[in-house]
Amino acid sequence: MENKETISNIQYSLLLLPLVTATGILYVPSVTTAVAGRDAWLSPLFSGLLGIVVVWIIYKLSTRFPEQSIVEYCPKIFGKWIGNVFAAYLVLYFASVSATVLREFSDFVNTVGLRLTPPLALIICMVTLSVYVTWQGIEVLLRTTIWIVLFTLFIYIVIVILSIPVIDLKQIRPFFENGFKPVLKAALIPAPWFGELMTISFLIPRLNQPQKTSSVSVYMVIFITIIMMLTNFTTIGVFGPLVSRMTFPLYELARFLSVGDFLERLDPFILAVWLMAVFLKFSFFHYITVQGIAQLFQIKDYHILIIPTAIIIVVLSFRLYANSADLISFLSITYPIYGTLMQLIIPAIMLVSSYVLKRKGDRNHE
Amino acid sequence: MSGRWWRERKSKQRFIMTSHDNGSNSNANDQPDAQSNKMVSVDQTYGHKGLSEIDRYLDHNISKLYQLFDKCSDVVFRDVTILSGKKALLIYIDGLVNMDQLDIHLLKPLMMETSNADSDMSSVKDLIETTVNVAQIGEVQSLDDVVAHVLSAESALLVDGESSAITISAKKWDHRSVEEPSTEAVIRGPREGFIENIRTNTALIRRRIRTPNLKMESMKIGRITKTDVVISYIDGLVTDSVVTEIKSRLERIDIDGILESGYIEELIEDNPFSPFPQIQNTERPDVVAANLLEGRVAIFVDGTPFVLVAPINLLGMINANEDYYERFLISTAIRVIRYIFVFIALLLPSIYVAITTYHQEMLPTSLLISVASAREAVPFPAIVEAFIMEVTFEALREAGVRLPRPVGSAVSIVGALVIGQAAVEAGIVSAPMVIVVSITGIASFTIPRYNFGISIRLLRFPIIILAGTLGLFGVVIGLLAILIHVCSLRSIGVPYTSPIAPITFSNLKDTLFRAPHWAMRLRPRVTGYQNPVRTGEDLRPQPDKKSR
Repeated sequence: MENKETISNIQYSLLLLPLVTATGILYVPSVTTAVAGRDAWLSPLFSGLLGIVVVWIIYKLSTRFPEQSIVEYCPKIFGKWIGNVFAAYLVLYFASVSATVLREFSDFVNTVGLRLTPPLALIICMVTLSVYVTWQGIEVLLRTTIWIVLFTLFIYIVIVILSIPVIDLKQIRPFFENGFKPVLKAALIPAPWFGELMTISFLIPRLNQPQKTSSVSVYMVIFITIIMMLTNFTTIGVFGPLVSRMTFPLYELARFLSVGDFLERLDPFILAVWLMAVFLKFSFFHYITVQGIAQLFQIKDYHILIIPTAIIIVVLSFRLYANSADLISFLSITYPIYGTLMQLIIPAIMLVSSYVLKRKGDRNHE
Repeated sequence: MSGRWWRERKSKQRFIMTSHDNGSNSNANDQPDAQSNKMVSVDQTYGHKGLSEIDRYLDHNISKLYQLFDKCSDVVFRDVTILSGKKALLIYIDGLVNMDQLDIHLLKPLMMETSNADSDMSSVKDLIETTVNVAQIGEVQSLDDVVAHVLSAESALLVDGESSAITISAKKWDHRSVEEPSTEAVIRGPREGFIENIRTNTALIRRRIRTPNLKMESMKIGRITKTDVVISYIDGLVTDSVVTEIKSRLERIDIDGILESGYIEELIEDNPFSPFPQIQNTERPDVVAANLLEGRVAIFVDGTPFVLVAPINLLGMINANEDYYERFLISTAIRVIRYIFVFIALLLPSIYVAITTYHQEMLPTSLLISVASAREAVPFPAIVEAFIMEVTFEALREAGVRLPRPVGSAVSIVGALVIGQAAVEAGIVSAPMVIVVSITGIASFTIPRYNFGISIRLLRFPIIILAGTLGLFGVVIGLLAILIHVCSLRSIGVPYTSPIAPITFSNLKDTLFRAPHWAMRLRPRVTGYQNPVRTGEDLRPQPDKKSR
């Protein structure tokens, strides 16, 4: 029953948006500006290119192994033992990303909103929602996605429009003050956010029009790139190099804006909208982790795994990072390398091996 | 009027007759003296176990029927003598049959004019067909059928020496006339509403949709009540699987009685634990007709003016029928207001609680000062205050529905004065809270569908608790939970949130906006994809080019 759930390309592409941007637009402006200064708004462009490469690799792998996810075809490429170790490592990676998203969420809410609320309370709320939606299945998650994405995009556009009067182009110029190199270097930082698109490997087998997937995915990556660039551009245009000192520049931007003279401090609303987006991202990664475990151990009904996985993720979110600064240093120093390994290099090796070893999935799998 | 009514009745009659012909009665004519132990399994029988075939001796039948209708003072047994001294029995329920019609068109011809009839009349059936001028007659073979027909307000004529009985449909009983429904008032639009009589209701639909493709399938539900239920749809527009699904769900209902369509709604809906209605009910024939034209299915239930419509979607619950009668720009504007007020009805008290408790910085300073000074004297935290006021308001509304009319105005005065002014002056609640609650109350009245409105009213309370404990964060968590739940709902297998999720771009014309009728060329995809196009091309009115 669960395997029959199909996804349309629109739903699929709309899910990609919060997958990257939910946490991306919060952290990326400050970490890229720290490296590239006022040229940081250009960096997502190159990260986006990397994202397209990742999507292309995953798409190629999916065409070689139709109707299978990366966890399923990993053993087919590398053989039973090595392949399963790789697959298990990938599942662990998904679990760690879920834990990171959860931690980013609780840190953010604790920093800007509910300072005295214990993080566990926030995390339990979020995980309960995620368990609920994962239990209902991917179709419900995707339907929820449409509503939330339409709503958040609307709010995002409102914020950008409201910030137009306060953007100072002098903050952006001069271009390439320190040359082109820092821009490229800074591009590595948002790259893992785009690299997280490798999880489409779990969605592609369920798409009802797989022939259009590649173009839809690429369009969506381009769209996400534009949003990331726009975010960087707006925050830098308003705050200048100060962005690098802020933890959540977009949030600061929302605090800064006012509608007329009576609607000020819109930040709790931004918090609300952002919560919805991050809920999507977390739920999807939770779902991926559960699916990954189910596929790894060939468990037919994934529902029994939902709550245990949720508990593991909650514990991981507390154990992985000592504190908020630890999380930021992970995101800006470790994650670019670790992420590139997991998202780009391992799939690339898989793709090359599948060609060299001439391993291919049969089309009539299941 | 009576002609249409008759056709309807006839088709139903045929349905019932064929259903029996398929049963065990097929050889009844060959073996008129079938053994009485051969039980005839009619529909879910209650009270009387399957009676035998009709005996050729009238007295046997009479004694059985007397026994069956023992202590039923409203059942009339009328002995008549017809056809050269043959004895016969007319049986009917007093108050449900048209006595004039029976007298003039049945009894009079049968008793007076049989003398000049041909004596080689082979059966009473022939006699009836030639002499009786009542529009609808039928023939049944078993006593069970006789009882069933008599109970559904027909009259039965049993003749001595005949193994079949004649049923005469001359029904008449008192019912409300067609008037404007009080629950769904419109400014522009038809003023007709359904009534408690199922035939009148189906006739109201048939009058609007004049096509043989409008099907009205009849069935009886309820072990004791044997309530008439009619499933109506337009063949060729409706998705066949939906009709099959609804029919199979109706067929598995096994309950003693159906007194209102709410019974059926609760027994066939997809998610019985959801606060959201998954089947729409309406009192308006125009709403039912519009839904039938979009490929949906209507379920009429005898004894209630509320007709069920399925499958429905979430946005349909916020749209009123008048949206389609007013000019589209105005309708769109009204819809936008309605959508905003749905959110206000759901969220305003909780947002107020969250902001005054946790996010005071969101308020402009002057507003903050006035709210703070108003709340200064109030001894309760905002969440308790909100609960007191909301519960009182709900109680007032419930009292307003329940109270006898003459008392109603008194209650509203007391409610408005006590709740509004005195409570504020006494310092029990703050004035801003009263404003919030009244806006919420007004907002919940803008929802056109009452059953959707009450689910919104109900969901308000858990969100207030979340807002009081977690602030806006809690509000968002509550909203997300509702959103997930709504997205997981289905109405007869159709996603509840269509056409937004799963998204269908061509159907977005009838969501937040109401496109003009010439632009809405397609039916909703989820229900009408079998026959998607509903208008011709180039319908947009524009000045004639030649005349310019």
